[in-house]
Amino acid sequence: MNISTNENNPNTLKLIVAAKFAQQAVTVKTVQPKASFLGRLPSIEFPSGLILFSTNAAMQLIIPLSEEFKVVNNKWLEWEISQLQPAIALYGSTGIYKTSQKSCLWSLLKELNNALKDKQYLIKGNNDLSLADICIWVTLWSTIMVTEIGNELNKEYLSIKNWLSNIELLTVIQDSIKEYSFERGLKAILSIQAASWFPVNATLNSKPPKSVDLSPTKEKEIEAVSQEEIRNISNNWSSKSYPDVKNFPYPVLPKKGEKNILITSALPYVNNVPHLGNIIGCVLSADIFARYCRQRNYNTLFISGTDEYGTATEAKALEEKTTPQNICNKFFDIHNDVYRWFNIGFDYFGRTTTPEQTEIVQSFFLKIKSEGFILSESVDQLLCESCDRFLADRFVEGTCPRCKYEDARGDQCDGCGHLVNATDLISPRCKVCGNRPIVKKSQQFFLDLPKLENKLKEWSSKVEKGWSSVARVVAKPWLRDGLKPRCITRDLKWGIPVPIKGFENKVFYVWFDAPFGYISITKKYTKEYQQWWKPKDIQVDLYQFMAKDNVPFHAIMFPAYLLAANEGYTLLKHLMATEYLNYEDTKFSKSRGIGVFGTDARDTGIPADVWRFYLAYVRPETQDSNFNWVDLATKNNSELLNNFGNFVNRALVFVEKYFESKIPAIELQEDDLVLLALAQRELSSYIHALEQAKLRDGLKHVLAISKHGNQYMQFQEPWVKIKGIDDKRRAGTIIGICCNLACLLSSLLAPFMPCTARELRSQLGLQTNNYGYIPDDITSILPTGHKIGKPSPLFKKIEEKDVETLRKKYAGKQDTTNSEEHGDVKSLDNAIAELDTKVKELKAKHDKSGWPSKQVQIFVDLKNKLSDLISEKNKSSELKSKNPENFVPEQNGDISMDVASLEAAITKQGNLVRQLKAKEEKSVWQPEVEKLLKLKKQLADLTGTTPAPTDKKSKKKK
Amino acid sequence: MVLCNVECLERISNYLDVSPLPLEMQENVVVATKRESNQKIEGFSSIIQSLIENSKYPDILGVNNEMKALSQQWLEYAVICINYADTPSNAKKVLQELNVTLTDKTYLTGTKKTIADVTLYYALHSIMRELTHQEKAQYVHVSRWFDNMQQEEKLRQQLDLISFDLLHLFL
Repeated sequence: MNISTNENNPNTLKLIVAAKFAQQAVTVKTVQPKASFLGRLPSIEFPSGLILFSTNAAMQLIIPLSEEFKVVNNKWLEWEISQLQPAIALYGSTGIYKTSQKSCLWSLLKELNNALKDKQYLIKGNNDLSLADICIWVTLWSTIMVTEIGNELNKEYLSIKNWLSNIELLTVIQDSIKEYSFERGLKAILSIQAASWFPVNATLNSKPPKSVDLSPTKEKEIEAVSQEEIRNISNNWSSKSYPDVKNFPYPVLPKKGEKNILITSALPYVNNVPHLGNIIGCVLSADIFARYCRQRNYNTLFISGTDEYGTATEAKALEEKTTPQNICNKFFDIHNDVYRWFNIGFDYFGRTTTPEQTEIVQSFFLKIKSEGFILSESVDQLLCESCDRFLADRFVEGTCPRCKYEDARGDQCDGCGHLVNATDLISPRCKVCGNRPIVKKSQQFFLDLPKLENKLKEWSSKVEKGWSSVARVVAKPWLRDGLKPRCITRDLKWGIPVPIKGFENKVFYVWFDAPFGYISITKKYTKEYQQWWKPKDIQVDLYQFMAKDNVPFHAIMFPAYLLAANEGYTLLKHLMATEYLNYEDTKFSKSRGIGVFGTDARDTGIPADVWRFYLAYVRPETQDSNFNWVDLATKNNSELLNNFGNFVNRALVFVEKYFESKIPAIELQEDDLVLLALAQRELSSYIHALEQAKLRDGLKHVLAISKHGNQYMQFQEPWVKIKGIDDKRRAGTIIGICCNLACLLSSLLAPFMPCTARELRSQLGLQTNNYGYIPDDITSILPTGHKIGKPSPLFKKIEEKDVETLRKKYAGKQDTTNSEEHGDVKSLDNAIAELDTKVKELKAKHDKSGWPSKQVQIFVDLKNKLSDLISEKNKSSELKSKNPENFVPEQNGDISMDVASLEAAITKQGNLVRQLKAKEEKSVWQPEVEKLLKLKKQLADLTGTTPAPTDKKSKKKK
Repeated sequence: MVLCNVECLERISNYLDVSPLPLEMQENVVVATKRESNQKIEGFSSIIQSLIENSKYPDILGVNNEMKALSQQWLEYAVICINYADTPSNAKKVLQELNVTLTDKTYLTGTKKTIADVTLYYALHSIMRELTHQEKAQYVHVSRWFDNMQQEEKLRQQLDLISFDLLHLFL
């Protein structure tokens, strides 16, 4: 065995003793810590090539522990490395070994002394030297025994003293010391430090002693409050006044020299009911930000609306046998209701089917055309002669050119899942009448994006710093890879007509039409809309909120239109895109009934404010996040109820009970200033976060303030002080500060939870017609003598059983059908076959003639059901193959030659893939990954086990 | 507080199909079985090793003595280092070290999953959850290992599936 060690490291002695004990030979080589694995020394290499840097693990390998005393031996070995050595290292660098803490070196020695009482060796009933003895003995003997502690120990801890000297006399120890000589004491400690890492010491050292025991939950290290912070907070408290929040008259317009914030949230498409992910992705995020801006006295306009034109609406109308306009009206009301319930405070929530929209889109088109950015080209399209219309992709069906599935859609084939070009379908048919459409050339308008590319690049490089990172990530490839002309017109009926002769039967495509909705909806709000969108001499900052799928429209298309029009329009400045919110680790799906949709939220009995809070708390700001019922209940109960609610309620009830509901006089002392300084830090971070619309971070700073408040109250114990005569004034100060913090908190929470904030403000005895100004600095808000209202709890507990019920309710239909009706693949197969026949029968009957609309409906329903069943079948067979129940911690042992060579090949290929992935593009490594997967498959076939998944592609569905 | 805590041990018990021991966090921030229990076991790694003894999966510590020593080494690493990765600077160093370790390995001890992987998965979950895409890319070997680990549903229990989106990791 070969030991590598740095100079003078006593841990090496342990390895040598162990080797002597086992009568094995070792060689010792001195190396630098830098040259060793993870900088850890000593390390030991075994004949098999195994290298260990854990001395204790190596000792156990050299001398296996006897079963009988394993548990207690383990305990002491763990104690030695995780407590004793760190404490000795700490002593080496600070000289401290006695503190009030249980983990200090002196306490540890006491523990050891107790354990050694009346024993020859550490482990009771074992009359031999154990690994634990060797290990602890070497550590103590080599280090602290030749320092000041050694003298003290010899006087106080006699059991240790005797044990130490007994072991020293053993031959095996004496021989080992001769073989490895080093300098004991401080130098040995420094050598351990140089070749190890004990983060526990960094943690212990930096925590200010006071707050150690107060933080019940995980917390970041708190930096000590500086004198300067104390001075500032003290000045602000006494001299700064708390500003009022402005009353904005209708209409809100931008003003020169002030902050003017124009906020939009992506227009939701009209034929969907929004789910929680949609809501936090755009409207709720925008609303929280808009409320924040208003409370900062910025001139703020927040608009949104429904996007109503397009094929999907037309298809839905056909399906429901009504006009597109009726569909739009119906869904507009649904959207409007949902957002109202969630307390989304739009300045105006409009829609795109308005005369204003038509006028603005048409005039923009003409202007862009006159500036020379519009091309005209002919494209191949499918025309159904019997219906007299060009067919949009989703109005065509046919045989998939790839897999020959008969009912492939014009945009995608459900059989093989590939994207399809409508014109490539074999024997295409019109979805409405069943006739075969013909391919016809049709003249369309294109936006000449390549010509706008430089302008776009120049603009984007100036503003993209202010975008959320996902927005930048999505937008970048578009400009990097070069832009192509984009078709902006379509041969459809439901849309805004193209105002050019010869194009009367065409409409603008949604890409061109929808973004102008922002402008036309602003026009519905005020005739002065141009002050926002074409400001003269006034700085207007445009913030747009959306989920990541909408980024290209807002980062490329919309700015391209506005730049092409060249009339000084307000361009996007801050693009606030979010990632996706998943639902209980899966995707929201209306058709499968998975997830909570806007209309469901109110049925849950959970208040809108709690929904807003939780959605903001899990807002997918930097990566996809997950909605989880249990987490919702936990956050409600821990953060809202126990943290925030508890703090404000305790403060207010105290004032009511002991101070006749009047804010007592406040005389600040050092402790109070420290609390206010800590709160000030959070307030500054809150503002910093919200200015960049980092809502999730902002919310956490709000909760941190009430956490500080709780700790302060707990530590100061005003309920004790109120009983003493001298201390009554002190109690008044403490509680006065808490009420002022509660008041500040009501303003900070208001953007997230407006109803709760209003309720809190009424309990604080404040006017509830506004939410209060959000200040930069903490000042005294409630003067002495201010009368508060009637306190009452702000939040209710959410019980676990209730969320369990809700979780089941929204877990989707397929779960129940899967287990009850279609328990296995076989019965699913039958169901599919049955449906398929039905569908074919229906089609055969009505092949040539136009289908009566009722039959169309039946057909559509059946088909949906069929495709649901197919996907379910795929899913359940997938589950089977994954076989999650089959828990195999270990693989089977017998390995034939073939398996061995396959395994070797897999390892080799795996290394290659890893190297490639680190350096190369996907196109380079993808083929190698395929090879790797193939090899693994072969191995799996051979051994009959599922291979350990190492490549995520094979596991995850995209 | 520390990451090698009672919750972490309870998840490991669940995973090993053994009924959880009555555990508590002692004043000195070390987990231990409660005083009432017959034989007191103290220390995170020691408790895990005794859980394995009582489980149906003795081999998860390692199929031979060398593997066992390796997984003991990483359990020790969990106790000494990962335990304190709840502060940003410690987390950074732990992730760097693990990234080096996992560069050429599927699992911590080589090609077979051991209790060390299981333990580190639970201990690191709260850290991995908070990483940005940039950080995940920076610690790409840890990310790969963690993503591989979390695919096992029995292991994941109620924990979030953390996204390691290729698009973001390799962009």
